[in-house]
Amino acid sequence: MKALSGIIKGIVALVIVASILLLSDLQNRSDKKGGTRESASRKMYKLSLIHFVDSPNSEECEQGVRDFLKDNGLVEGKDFTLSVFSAQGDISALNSIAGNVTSQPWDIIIANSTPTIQSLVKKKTKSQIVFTNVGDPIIAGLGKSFTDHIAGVTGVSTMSDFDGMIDLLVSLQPEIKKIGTVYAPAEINSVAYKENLDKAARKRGIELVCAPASNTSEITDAAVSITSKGIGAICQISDNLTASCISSIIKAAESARIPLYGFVTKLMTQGAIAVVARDYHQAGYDAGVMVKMILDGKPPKEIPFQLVTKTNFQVNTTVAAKFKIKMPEGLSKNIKLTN
Amino acid sequence: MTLLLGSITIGLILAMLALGIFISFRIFDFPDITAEGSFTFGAAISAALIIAGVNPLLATLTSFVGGGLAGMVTGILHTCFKINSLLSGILVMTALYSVNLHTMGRSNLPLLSETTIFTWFDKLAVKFSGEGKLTMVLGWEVPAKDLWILLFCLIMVVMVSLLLWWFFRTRLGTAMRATGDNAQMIRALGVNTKLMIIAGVALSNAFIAVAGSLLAQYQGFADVQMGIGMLVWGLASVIIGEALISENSLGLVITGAVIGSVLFRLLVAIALRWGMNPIDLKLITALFVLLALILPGFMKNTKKIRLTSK
Repeated sequence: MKALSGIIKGIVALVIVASILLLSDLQNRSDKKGGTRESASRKMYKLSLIHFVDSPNSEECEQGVRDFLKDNGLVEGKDFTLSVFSAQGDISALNSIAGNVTSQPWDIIIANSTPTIQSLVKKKTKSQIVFTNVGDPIIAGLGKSFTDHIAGVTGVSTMSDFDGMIDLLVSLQPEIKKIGTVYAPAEINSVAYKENLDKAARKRGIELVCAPASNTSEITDAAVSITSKGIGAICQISDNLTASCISSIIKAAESARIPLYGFVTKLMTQGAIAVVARDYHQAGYDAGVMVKMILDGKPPKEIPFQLVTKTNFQVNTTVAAKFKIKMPEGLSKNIKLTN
Repeated sequence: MTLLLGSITIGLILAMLALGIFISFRIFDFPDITAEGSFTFGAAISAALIIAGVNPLLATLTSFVGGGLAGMVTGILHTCFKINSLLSGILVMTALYSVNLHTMGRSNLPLLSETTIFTWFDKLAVKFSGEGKLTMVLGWEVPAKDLWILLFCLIMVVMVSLLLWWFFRTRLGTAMRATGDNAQMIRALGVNTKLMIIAGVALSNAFIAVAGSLLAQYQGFADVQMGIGMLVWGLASVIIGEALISENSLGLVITGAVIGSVLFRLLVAIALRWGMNPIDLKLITALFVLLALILPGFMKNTKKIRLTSK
C-alpha cells in the first residue's frame, strides 16, 4: 500500500503540472479562427524568433531583423510583437521551444541557425517560417534547390560569396591565372565550398589548385604543396579543420611570398591581404525583407532562398603594398580599406 | 494541447536516457560521463544508417549496440586500467566527439525526407484517421499523428521499464545490483565485479544511445552538439523521480525515473509557455528543478510537525 502511494504521488504531480500547462494553453482551444481575422488595416502581426545558441552572430541577426522592421515603419507593440526564444545550446530545450512555438498561431516564425529550422519543419504548423544564418539550406535538407524547396519555408543562406571573392581577387591581381586552397574531404561543407569556389574561379578563367587534409598535422604539408604549384594567391575557404590551424596556412603563404585571401573577418588581423565575409546583421535584415513579403501576401513557396545580399569586403593596404599590389582606380566603395 | 503532447513525447523519449543514467549512477554508483557522447553516438549511427537506406528499426537497434560498445570501453578503462571512473567517462566522451563526426561525415545530418520510425506513425495515422485529420481532445484540435507517436513512446517506455525491472531481479541482475551496493560482499560470493561493472555501464550507454537515436528521428536531424547538457538533465530527471516517490524498491525507482523525466519536460514547457526573457530559460529551469526537489520533502516535514504537535 505504501508502495502505491509513491506512484500515486508521482502521477498526481504529473496531472497537476499537465493541467497548469493546458490552462495556459486555453486560448488556443479550437475557436482560434475568430482571432486571426481582424480588419486588415489595424492588424498586429505576431512574430516569433528562435535562437539555438547565444552567439555574436545570432545577436547580430536578431538586430538585423529588428532594424528592418523599424526602417519600414513598423513599431513593436503597435504593428507587431516579436517574441524571442533561445534554446541556449540545449537540443532538448530547442525541441520544447519548437513544440511551444508551433502550437500557437504566429504570422511568421523566424528561425536562426540550422538546428532551429530543422526542428521546426518536422512539426505541423500553420505559421510560415523564415530562416536565417543557415550555411547551406540544401545540405540542411530544406529543398532540392534555391527555388524548389519545402512549402511554407524560405530564408537566407550565409554561404560564402565566392563570386564576390573572385571579383575582388581579379581587381587586385588582374594577371592571376591560378589560385589555391586547402580543404577537408571529411567535412561536407568544405567539399561544397571548394567546388563552389572552383566554379566561380572557372567563370573568370582561373584555375583552382587544391590539396586535401584530413587532420591538423597534414595542413602544413597540404599548404606547402599548393604554394609550390605556381599559384598567384591562396584563397582559403572556411571550414572547421582549416579554421583551427589557419596559422599554418598563413605561414606557408608568407614563406612562399603569396598573398592570402580569406572568408573570415578575423583573418584581417592575421596577415590576410583581403577578406570577403558575410555580414550577419544583413542576414537578419534580408530575413526581415522576406518576412515583409510574406506579410504582404506572397506565399513562402514562391520566394526562393537567397544568399545574404551584403558582404563585407576588406582590403589591407599595408599587406597589399608588401606584395606591390596597387589599389585599382575603380575599386568599389563597398570595399573597406584598412592598414 | 499539441504542446502538452509534444512535451510528454519528448519526456518519454528522454526517459530512456534517464533509465540509462539511473543504471550507471544509481545501481552501480558509477558517475558515468560517457552519456553526453553516447547520446550523440546513437543519433549519429541511426541517422547515417537511415540515410544509407537501412530499416529505421534496425538502425535504432544498431544504436543500442553502438552505445553499448562505447559504455564497454568506459567500463574496461575503469576496471582493467584502474582509471578513475569520472576520467574514463571523460576520455570516452571526448573521443566519441570525433567518432560521431566520422560516423555522420559532417556535423549535421537532416532526416527530414527520410523514413524514420516516426514516419511509420504518420502512415498509421493516415490509415486510421485519414489524411491530415485533426482529432478533438478535450476541445483542442490535435493532429492524429501526434497521438499515435505519443502512444508508441508510452508503450515502448513501459515495455523497456518492465524489461529492466525483470532483468534486475534475475540472478545476473541481482549480482549487478549487489556490485553497486556492496562490492566486497558480492566478490566474496564469487561474482566477478569487474565484468558486472563493464556490462552495467555498457547497458546504461546502450539505453542512452537509443534515446539519442529516437530523439534524432523525432526531431528530424542529428547534430554533433546534441549531447550537450543531456547528462545533467537525465540526472535531474532521476533525482526528481526519487524525491517524488521517496521509496527505494526497484520497480518504484524505475517508475520514478520515467515520471521524473516527463515531469521535467512539462516544467520546461510551462516556463516556455508563460513567456519570459529568453535569457532566463536555464535559470527558470533550474528553479523548477529545485522546487520539484524540495517540495516533497517539505510536504512530508509539515505533515510530521502536524502529527507531533497533536
